[in-house]
Amino acid sequence: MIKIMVDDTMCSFEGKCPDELTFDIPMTIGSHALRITHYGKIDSDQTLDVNNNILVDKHVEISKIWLDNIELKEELWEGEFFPVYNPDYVKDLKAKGIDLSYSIQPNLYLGHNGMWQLWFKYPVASWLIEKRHDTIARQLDPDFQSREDELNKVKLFFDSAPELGW
Amino acid sequence: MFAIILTVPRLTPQRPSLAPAIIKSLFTKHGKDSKILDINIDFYNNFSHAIDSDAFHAIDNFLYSNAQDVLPLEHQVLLNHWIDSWIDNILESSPKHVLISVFTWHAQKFTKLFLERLRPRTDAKIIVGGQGIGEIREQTSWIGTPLFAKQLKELGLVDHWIKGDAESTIPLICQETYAGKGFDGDEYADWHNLTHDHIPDYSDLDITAYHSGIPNGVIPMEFSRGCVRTCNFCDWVTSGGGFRTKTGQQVFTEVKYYYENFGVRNFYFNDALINGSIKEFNAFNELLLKYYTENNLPNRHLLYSGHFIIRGPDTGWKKSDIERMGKAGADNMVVGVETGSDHVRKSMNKGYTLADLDYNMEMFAKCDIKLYMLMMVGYPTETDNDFQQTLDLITRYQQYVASGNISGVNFGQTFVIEEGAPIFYHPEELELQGVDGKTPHDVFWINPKNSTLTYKERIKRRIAAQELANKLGYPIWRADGQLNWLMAKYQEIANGTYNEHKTRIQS
Repeated sequence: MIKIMVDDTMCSFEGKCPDELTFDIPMTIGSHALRITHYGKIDSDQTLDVNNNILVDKHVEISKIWLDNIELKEELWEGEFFPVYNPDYVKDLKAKGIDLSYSIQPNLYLGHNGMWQLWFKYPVASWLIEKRHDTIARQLDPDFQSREDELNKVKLFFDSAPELGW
Repeated sequence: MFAIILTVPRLTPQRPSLAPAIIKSLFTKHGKDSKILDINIDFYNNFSHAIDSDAFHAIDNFLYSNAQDVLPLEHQVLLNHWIDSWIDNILESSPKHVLISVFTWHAQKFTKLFLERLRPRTDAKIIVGGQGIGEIREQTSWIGTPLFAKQLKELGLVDHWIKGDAESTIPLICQETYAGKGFDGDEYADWHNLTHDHIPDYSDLDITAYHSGIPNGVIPMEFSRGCVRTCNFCDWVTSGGGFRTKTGQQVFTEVKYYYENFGVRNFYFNDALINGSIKEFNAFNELLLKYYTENNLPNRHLLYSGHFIIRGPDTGWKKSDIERMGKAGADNMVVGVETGSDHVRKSMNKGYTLADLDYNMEMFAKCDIKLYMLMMVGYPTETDNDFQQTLDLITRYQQYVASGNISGVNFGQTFVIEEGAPIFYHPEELELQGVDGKTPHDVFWINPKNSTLTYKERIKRRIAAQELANKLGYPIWRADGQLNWLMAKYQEIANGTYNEHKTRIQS
């Protein structure tokens, strides 16, 4: 089962994890968190063989996310997963001297119950252009650089330039 | 040596020029030996390092700038020394002909300086050609008398100029005839049949020496010549011959040859459009995909870019065609988007709608294809509402900048009526009037039916479009340079010093 929320205000989806899901939500300018919560997984959702190798593991895997029709690429790996570990699993690992981390990042495989969270900004396009600045084609090409002061200089000139009469 | 073929500064050094490679292949076809020498790439790769960087930039600016007619003596000495070393190099081959490809007006200043030093040292036939032999306005054009070449001939610096397709004129040089259509005249010698078997020959050049940013370099190619569209602002409609295309098989054979012989994986098509013929374009992409399969290569192993026209689904241009071109390796498509208004686009006779653009763009985004937008602000029929639609389009398409599917935008310098364009000959179709009783031309036109669209208003819209695109993060081509150019032109017009016929060799 999963639950999808943007910030803490509105649940956009709750139910059995679908292969694909589209939803619209009202957004305000600024930072927001997309939260995908995996819940309801129980011991019997995992099957082990005699050697304790996992044969079947119920999980949620995030493969692709689009925001405002723009596919997230590297940004997906900024999502952070806050697992709710099975107490027996914690105990087993502790016995082996392993302390489980509070969160996992990068991670798109939600094997444990828990909440995956990705911070983003709205408008999404502007946020992504800023983030992808160095990789978007030609953003670093000198022929494609522009300076605000040059623009303002020309703007000021034409604001006060006389009309030519045609 | 029968012929030396020269590429001269100042051209962007991203890739070699296509014309010399075509010319060389034609000489070879006619049994004549020839060699391409690219002086332009030497200008950037060697001359720039051989002299002080300030001196280089001063020379570079001199060659490029229309405003600066005199080069300081100390820089002139450096330039002359370098030119002389090139002339020594050329004369070592005792060429019977020296052909200079004058690609644009950017090459005109250098060409004249070079010829002033070459002419006294050789009896070889010196022949100039290329679109840069014409007059300068905002850009060189095939239309009318090639004033630059004419002046060079009057100065005794060249023996002949050739105007037109090399397939028409080079055979005459091979026969040492130097007369006929395309020689020393205004008429464009067009060549109708592109379905030949000679492949433009770059074997004299080091493709990796160019500044493409791509390890194995980029090879320029052509799919077709002319254009299938009749946009009423474009001089291609009346110049340079009608539309003719190579076959998809032919273009594929060339790509395969360059890949297998030079290891080049990136190709740039120089022509006005690569998809003038859907049939041949689809065939080319099919053949690329077949080649990948047969050679265990991934899709998009080879990438190509070029000018592209938008077609809607009702023309037979299918989503599967776009998917195929994406898989085959379509990379950056340069498209005349022009406006966000269908009303304006229709009066431009562009031949497609905004819905058609969206249809292509949505597929481009799915298929990893980039769009480079050519925009035109201040078209005579553009109302406030039309311009708002352009701004809306820029806003709406920001998503494709973010996704990496818009590689850039060029806003141009507002609408200009160029000689050769249908609107130049038939301004009455839009009921345009000229300024001061003259025929509508350049920026000197008035649309009485859209009287608020003064020249100043066109520029203000142009600035507003750039301001919005800037804010939205679009990569804008030469944004500052173009605005400063507009400001300087406006000042010159206002104070009466604007010379719309200034040429590089006027002084």
